[in-house]
Amino acid sequence: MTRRGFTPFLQSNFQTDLDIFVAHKASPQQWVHRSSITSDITEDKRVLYGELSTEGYSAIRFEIRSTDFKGLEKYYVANGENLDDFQFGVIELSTGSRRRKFHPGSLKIDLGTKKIDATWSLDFNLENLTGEFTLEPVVVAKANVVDPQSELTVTSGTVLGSSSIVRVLEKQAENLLGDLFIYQWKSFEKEDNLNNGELCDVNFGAEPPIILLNEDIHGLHYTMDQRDNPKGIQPKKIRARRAIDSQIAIEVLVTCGASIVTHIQKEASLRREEDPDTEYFGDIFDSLSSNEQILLGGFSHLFCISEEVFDGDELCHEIATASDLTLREHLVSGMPRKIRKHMGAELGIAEILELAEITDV
Amino acid sequence: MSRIYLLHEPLRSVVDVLHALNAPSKVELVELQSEIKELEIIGDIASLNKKACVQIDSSGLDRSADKDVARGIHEAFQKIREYADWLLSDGQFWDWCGIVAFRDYSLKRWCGGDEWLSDGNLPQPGESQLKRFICNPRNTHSQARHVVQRLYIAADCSFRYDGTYDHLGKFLDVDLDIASQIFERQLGLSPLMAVVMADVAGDIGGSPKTPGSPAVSPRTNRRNFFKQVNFLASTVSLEFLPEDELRRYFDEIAREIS
Repeated sequence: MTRRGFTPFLQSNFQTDLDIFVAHKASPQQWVHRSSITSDITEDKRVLYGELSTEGYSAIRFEIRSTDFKGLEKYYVANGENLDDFQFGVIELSTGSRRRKFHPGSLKIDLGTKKIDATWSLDFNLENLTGEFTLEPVVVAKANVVDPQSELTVTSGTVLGSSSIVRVLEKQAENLLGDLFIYQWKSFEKEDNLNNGELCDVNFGAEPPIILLNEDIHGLHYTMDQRDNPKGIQPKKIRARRAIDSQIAIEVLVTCGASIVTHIQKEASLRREEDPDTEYFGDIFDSLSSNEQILLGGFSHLFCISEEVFDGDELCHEIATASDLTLREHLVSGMPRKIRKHMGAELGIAEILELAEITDV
Repeated sequence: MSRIYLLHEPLRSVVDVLHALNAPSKVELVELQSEIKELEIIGDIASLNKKACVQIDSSGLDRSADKDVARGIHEAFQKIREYADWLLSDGQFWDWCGIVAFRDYSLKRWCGGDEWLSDGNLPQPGESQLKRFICNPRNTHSQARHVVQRLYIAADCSFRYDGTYDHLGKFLDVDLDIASQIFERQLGLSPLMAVVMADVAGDIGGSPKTPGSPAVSPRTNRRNFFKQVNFLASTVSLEFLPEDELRRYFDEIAREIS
């Protein structure tokens, strides 16, 4: 199975490495290697570009090359060893800039070893970049080809393989919560529906949605008001604030993720009641609230069941067609675990303990 | 000619929208300062706003001015496209467009005018209409519903397809649901896909009643078409395909539905 779900034809994950180059305003023709991210099928690759302009760079180049292409090699052998039947490329998708485009790359084969290599490169002007966009390496059929597994014919344009997505962000995705939610301080002790001693609570249904922070916790308000040092080492109170930030983000994402998944599930049940033959549920996304859609847009990689889904529509379809057992496991452990891992939960706890100066126990 | 502004703070809720509409003189703006001289001035949007209101009044139809406003905005924003594409992804710029630059048109088009602002006895616009003034640049649903950006998107799509505005009618005349189904999804991010989908969807009609099934409206059949296209996009890279192959796929889906 790949990010696109189960298909009756062979569709494989392949591994790719990413190299990033930048060009300075002063010497725009000179590309300097900035960083590399090596293969990992399961995790998307994240690139932050927001600071590059302030560092004086004017352009960024992405180079992607495959490192392992087993699935495509089977197709190649099953289709008369004609590489022209296949096209490697990268799908660029940007909601903010309203772009959706296939950028072709190149495929080459070593006739001796039959090893196929794919490469792709594209430059972007940093002045025109805004928000987030994704780059998804794929191999597509250029003509009707035979599936080596089932011997079905798959038609041109069919995605035969994909690799982990490159998410190119202006700034850390965590800031999305800061943009979407407002923060309110409350005495949890005085509110009937809030629990004493809890760090925070979430009112996702409010407009705009609210993160409630517990003003009864001694020192919390003071700590949360601390701002990062623009330069130099961050003092303990800033490190404490950051650690608490990540705990709050985890709590918010787990709560809201569960709420959204449950909403999708309910919507799917209603649709099945109306029409038992319904097969496609991707458009449940359209019936979600705009806040739910925003969170899905920013965090679908954390809320999904499989390794990755492409967009909100795919996530809705995946959730709607999952079995009860799968969904239960997902809500109780799979999704919270993914969120905690992504938000660096273990780092947050370790940080808090270090700040409390706990040594040998 | 008009200068470009952005709202100082993004609109985040219907409450923000109401505050801004009720007290236009208090709306805080930031004037765009640009190193590119041409960028600071754009087309005459004040007269475009006025003409649109006159058109709606004379025709009695809310959406009668949509195509002209769409084309007018796109032409007015040529310099932005050329010199600072990034501005068209800025939510506070679109917030300004809806709340200030095209205030009269937006209120007339979606809220029946502005009298309700000062007269609580008149029917008040619902939350869904007021939410159209809020732009979330990260969300296709919000972009496609925004009072002004929705028109820019349709015009830009037509223009990027073949350099003309000849396709605006496919999005804005046949059935507004077509524009919603296309542009509220990521499928609508590709001009080629959007125009071809609109072409095919526009020709889809209703299905008559048969002994075994009830009649189906054209809109229901079209929505079924878009669902199937979305499903197809999960395994086929539609952005890879040339136009003739795209049409072939979509025509096949439309034939099966009809």
